[in-house]
Amino acid sequence: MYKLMLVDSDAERATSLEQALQTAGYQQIIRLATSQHLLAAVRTHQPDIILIDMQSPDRDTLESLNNVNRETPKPIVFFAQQSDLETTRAAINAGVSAYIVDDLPSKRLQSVLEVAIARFQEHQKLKNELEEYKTRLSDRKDVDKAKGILMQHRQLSEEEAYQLLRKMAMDRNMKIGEAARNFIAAMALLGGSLP
Amino acid sequence: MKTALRIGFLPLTDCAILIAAQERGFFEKQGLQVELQREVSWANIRDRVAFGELDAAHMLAPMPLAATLGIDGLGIPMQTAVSLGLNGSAITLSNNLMASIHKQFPEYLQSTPLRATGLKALQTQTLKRRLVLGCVYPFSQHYYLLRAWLQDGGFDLATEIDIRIMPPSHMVQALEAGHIDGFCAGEPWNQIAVQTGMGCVAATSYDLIHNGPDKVLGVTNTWAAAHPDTHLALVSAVLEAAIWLDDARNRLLFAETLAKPQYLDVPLLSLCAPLQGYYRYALEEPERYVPDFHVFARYAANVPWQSHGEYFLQCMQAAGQWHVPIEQAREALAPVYRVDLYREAAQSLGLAYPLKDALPAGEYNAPWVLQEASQKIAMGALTQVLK
Repeated sequence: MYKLMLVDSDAERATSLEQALQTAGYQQIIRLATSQHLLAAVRTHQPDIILIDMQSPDRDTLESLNNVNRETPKPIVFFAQQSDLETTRAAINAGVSAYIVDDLPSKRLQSVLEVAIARFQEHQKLKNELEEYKTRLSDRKDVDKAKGILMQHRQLSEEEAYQLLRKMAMDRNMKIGEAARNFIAAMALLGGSLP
Repeated sequence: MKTALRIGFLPLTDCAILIAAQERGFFEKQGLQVELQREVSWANIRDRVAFGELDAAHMLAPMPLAATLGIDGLGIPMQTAVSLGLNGSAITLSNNLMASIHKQFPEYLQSTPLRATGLKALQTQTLKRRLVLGCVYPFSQHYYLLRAWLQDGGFDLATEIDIRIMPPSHMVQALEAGHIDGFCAGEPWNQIAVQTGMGCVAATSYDLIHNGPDKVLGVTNTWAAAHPDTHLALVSAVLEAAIWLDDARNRLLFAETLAKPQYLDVPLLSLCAPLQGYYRYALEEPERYVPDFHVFARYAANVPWQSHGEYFLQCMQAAGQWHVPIEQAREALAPVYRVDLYREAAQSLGLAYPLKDALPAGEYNAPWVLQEASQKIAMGALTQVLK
């Protein structure tokens, strides 16, 4: 059975990927959180496939095993040579990269990569949703603040203030939160008293 | 014309031209909306450019050539039409090693640039072990310079040296932890090692080769063919930014921008002096004046000379990365080093440009003038100090 090494500092993502790989039939999985001792770990465990998060700065180190360090037990080949371009592109988009020993059947890698891509994408989606939620929350706060300034300075009702802000955003091709922030910043510059 | 671009960079002082092009509006002036994307590894830069996630990127000078020769693991052909400057890196040794050389072999310290002969004497007579040196990437001027410097000192690279590849930002930490004895990397990491008392600079890249290549702006051949007008605009913006940044007054101003969290995220102090040409080799020594430590535009620094490619072919061959006779690889150089496109951009901006694709043969050990150019160009020495 093939031995996999998973280098990812995001524990949550690594756990979900590990489970998915186990479900796919890969029982031998070594997980590294930090890549401090990456080379030593590769020498000790001699994995067949290494999956690594592209945010890890240690990809250059890993690739050099092939090029510089002659005493390494196994040559490492960058996955792009052994998988199709679409899969490679999808992996790079998802932020995961893979290295394999050069006598591995490419079908094997393909299946591992597909599982990894799916998990990385899912993780990214969750992260984006959280980001979006946070932005929406802060947008609401800023819109309220901008409305308050407008209501005070121009004696508008809340609804009128909101419509004015919305129009400003549309005219400038901006999101309303962004328009509100710009407006607040401009008012601060003019020395307008903020509520 | 494609106008919205994503350009990748690694946080190093020599990416300054790209940041200046963004912050001073040179991209905008050419009609480009650029998003600069900070990356953590050269492998990421290669992959993201190769698969079109990035339009272009700050690359180590030999990377487009390695990609075109098919020896970079991916083999998706790349090219450069503009170099991002000359010199700018150094070899740093741990304070312990340097102190031991001072104590035991002071006779080796009486010439400059410092040769690796003192280090070799220390290794053979005292340490009696392999030295471990950090370097940034196998296809880099840093790797080739480090090899040349060690070989000049009498080291057998196969048995006496272990070159460990790691990102530049990890070097100082690795030195502090004792995982490496020294390293070769770009700024600000050598100055940070010196300023934090972890290391001493043995030699700068300028000390070893005057005005050698360092970084380039790379794109894929596919991208260049699909977006010729964008490519030209991009090269033009970079050229204007480079000229702006070569002015000492602008460098002083710009260091503050460069140090910001979204760019290099390092102490301002580690950037300022080298940008002004003042370079500290050791904490207890005064700064030395190395006015050409960073060359951004003068000396035709942005020309993607084919002679740089010829030099890198030799380096790759010496390092065992390339096994085909150089004569057979020469024809690969023209598509990688796009002097033609450089010329077009320079001409449109009214700047001087060379008429030939390669530097003229000959020895240039002092400032000289390039005659074969649209207007004569003042050049710096091209001395190869290591023979």
